[in-house]
Amino acid sequence: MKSGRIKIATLCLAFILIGLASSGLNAQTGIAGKVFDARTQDPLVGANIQLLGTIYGTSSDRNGNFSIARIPPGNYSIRVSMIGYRNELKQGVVVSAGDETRIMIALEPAPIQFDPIVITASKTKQRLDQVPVSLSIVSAEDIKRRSPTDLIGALETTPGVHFVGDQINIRGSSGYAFGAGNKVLLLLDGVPIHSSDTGEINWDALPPLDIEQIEVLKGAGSSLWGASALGGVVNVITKSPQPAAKWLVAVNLGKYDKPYYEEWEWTDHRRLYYLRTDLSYSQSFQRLGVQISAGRFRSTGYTQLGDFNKYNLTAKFDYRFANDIKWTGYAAYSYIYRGFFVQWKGQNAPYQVDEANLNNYAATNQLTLYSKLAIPFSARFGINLRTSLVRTLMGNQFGESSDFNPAVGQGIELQSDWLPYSNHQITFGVQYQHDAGSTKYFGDHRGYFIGPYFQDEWKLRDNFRVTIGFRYDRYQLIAGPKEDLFCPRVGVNWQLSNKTILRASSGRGFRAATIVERFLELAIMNFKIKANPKLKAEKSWAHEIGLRTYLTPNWNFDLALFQNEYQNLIEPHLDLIRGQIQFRNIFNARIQGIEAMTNLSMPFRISHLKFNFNWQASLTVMDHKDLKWNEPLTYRPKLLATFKSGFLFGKFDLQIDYRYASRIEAVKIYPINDRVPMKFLDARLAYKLGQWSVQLGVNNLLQYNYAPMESNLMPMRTFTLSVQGEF
Amino acid sequence: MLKSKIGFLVILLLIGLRCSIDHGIAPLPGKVAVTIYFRGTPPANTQGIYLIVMPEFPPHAINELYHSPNSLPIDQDTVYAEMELPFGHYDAVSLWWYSTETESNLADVLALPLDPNNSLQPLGFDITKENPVFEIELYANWSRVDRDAAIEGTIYFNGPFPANTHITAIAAYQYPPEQNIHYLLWLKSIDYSINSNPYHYRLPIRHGNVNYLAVFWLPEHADLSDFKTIGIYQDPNKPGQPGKLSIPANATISGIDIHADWSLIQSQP
Repeated sequence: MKSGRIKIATLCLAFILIGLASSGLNAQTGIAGKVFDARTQDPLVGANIQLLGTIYGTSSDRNGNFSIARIPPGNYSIRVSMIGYRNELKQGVVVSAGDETRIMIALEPAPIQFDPIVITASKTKQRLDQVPVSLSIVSAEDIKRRSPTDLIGALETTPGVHFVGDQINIRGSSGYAFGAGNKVLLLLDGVPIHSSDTGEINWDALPPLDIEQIEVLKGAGSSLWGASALGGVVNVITKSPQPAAKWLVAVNLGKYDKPYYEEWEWTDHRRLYYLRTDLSYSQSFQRLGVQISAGRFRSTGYTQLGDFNKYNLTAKFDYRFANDIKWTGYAAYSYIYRGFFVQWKGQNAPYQVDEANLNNYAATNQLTLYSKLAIPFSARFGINLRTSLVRTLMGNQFGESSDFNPAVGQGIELQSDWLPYSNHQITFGVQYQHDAGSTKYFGDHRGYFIGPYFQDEWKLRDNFRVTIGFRYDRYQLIAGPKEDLFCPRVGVNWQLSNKTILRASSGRGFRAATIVERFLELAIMNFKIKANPKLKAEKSWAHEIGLRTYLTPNWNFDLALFQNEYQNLIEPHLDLIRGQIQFRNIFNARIQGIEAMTNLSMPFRISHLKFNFNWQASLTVMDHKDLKWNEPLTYRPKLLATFKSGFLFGKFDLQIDYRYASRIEAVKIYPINDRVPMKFLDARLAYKLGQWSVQLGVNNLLQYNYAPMESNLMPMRTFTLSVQGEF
Repeated sequence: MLKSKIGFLVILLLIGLRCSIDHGIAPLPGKVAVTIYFRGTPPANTQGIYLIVMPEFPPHAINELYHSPNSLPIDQDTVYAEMELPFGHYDAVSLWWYSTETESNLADVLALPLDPNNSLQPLGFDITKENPVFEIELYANWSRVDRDAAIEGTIYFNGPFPANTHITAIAAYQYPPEQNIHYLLWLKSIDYSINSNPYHYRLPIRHGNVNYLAVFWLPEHADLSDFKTIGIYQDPNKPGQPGKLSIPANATISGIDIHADWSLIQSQP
């Protein structure tokens, strides 16, 4: 094992040295310019500039200026994008030997940006309308609009996404597995950050204030992102250090209302509240950029044992060396002390737990580190070297004597981007991940993944792109079984007209069981969780065809048909006789459905007053089945719908969000418990004053009582006050 | 005029919304109130006692019954407990004993009152709007779960276990079960850890008479009433007839061997 790691490190080093040696051969020629607002002529800070047909890109500084050096002479196209503005494509930019070409780029403000730049679909920057798969975006503006207190709040209105507790379901992929073995891969700037023993996602790993964009890839992403991306990928892109010094402040205060039914009151409801405060500082000093943030999230909870105290500390650094080599380092530390509300005392006391469980408190701390080095050897070849570490420590589980050791996941990835011809963009690399976990509940285990991958995005014509790729994934549990799978993927993006795009993709997915799914032995309540060391890796085929059309410049419509076939799907299984839970394989399962989404923005003026009405509606209809028994899969609704609307008038913004999920047909633990559909209505009124905004909101306005899994109610009506600002 | 019309419409809308708003999960309107009288002392391996209510008896699965979230007190002679329930009919109310040593056991039902009009059936009850509370007294004799003796022997199977095996078990009865319901009602002890051929078993049991000792098989995805008999302990003097055992307190009866025949699965409904 050790020699394997040394070999990979040696390979990486050789790659870098060879590249560095060859990089000195390029002529010193470049493009410089300025990006500004077409209406106000103000410089735009932080605009994204990409030189198409090369691997080069940069962003504008505090004066709107940018420069890209060491470009071979030629004729180039430059794409400039920025949130709140329409993308601008500047074609025919001529670069001569030894000269620096200067260009001025004016961006038109846009009420909604329909085609943002994304990276998750192909590990390189591309426009959303050019990807072959379904991908949803949550922008920093969307996050600010909802003022969420964690990542779940930021994601819960995303089309096709549904949360059962803290477990994310993308198009029904995951169900509920008590936090273990997520079928969705969470990435932080492209780096996996799930806990290495449970596979659990820590949604509190970083504060919402740090997020620039969240990309949600739907369907199996294993052919590029590897194991765990069976049901999709959530890539959280963090904000980068700003050219000029900037402080960001966010304060979110929430106050829980009385329960709808008087008999459910369990305490003086006036005492139930939460408070989240975050502060962030960002500045670039010549070549070094720094962004630091700190946050505290404290809540009494709305239930007994619902109280918690969470702390976040994050720091991001970037440094631009000569020759455009860029290093980025990120560190996130979170500490959580919280109660564990496992199940209610009864349906007539749903916010209380049985007295015997009142001491169920636990602490978790997680440290996430990554380092990324981007080395452009030439305009057509560059490499990215990523290393990461995720260390998670839990303790004092359920009042028993603490016997946890840190779960440590270490990863390294070498990615190469190569443009051998103008119509081929090749991405290839290798990823290695070593996971270790140890507690008295599942013993001491270690395992590793290794996955070489290759992808070619082939532009057959200007309006027709084919993406062909594969990845070989191998998982080896030390002193245990070895599993592997070859995961091919093919995708097509065909721009039928300048308004309509057809996309199609087909690919395999692979996920080996986590340490917890295989080995956990635990008695909890009246159930015993039994180990299953023979658990096989789950595999899938994901097929999709989609159509996106722009009915007007401010109105688009997206339709997707999807079918996911799963083999050996890992799900918790309740033994009817013994009262045991064990993770087992479901031999064959299928989830197929249709997803429709539309975005509309209607800006208008009455006299001198500006108005803007926008709305987004989505509908996901799914049929999911265990094919062996012809039964629905558990914890998955068949219908999901979201409706988000905003009405902007002057400095006021009125927003209404509605989320609906149909009644879950099948559950594991208490099938006789009441189950209802989810119907949540949230409303907010925001007032913007310069760089500050104040927002008053009500979540769950209609006091709807919903339990995503048995014996766990979602929060009652909550009044919120949010203040966000920058200076 | 227009303003008053709009105001009227808004009021109507608000009233309409108020009346028709769905609030999702609501409190349960009824309950069962139980007074439990314990007899004897709890066995040392007692983990707890839980109140259970069964909408159907036998239940399809043990998670299809209402179950108190935690144990009732076990250090008192008399305990009062309540459990909220939706309106409806319930086939049985009982207590479930949990052991610290063995897995949850279908024979661990501690107090199951029978219908005085039909003693072969558990006592059912209804929770209705008119009668939202059902009160009952339960008599729980700890000795039922104090298994002070054992039966020991070897089970020989005439072939490998079928691929769809969920559970293979050995169970002891005071009377041979005749209907599905009796498999649970008359059960004295059961062990479903059988996983090899041959299998040496040791079945803990309360001293007294065992008139029927059988090996059962349950396929994957089956109900609790789907047990299929694949072998019984036969009377050595009357082959084909169930063997009867009388077990003294604190004794282990050995050599109670059983031959199980997989072909019997096919012949049963």
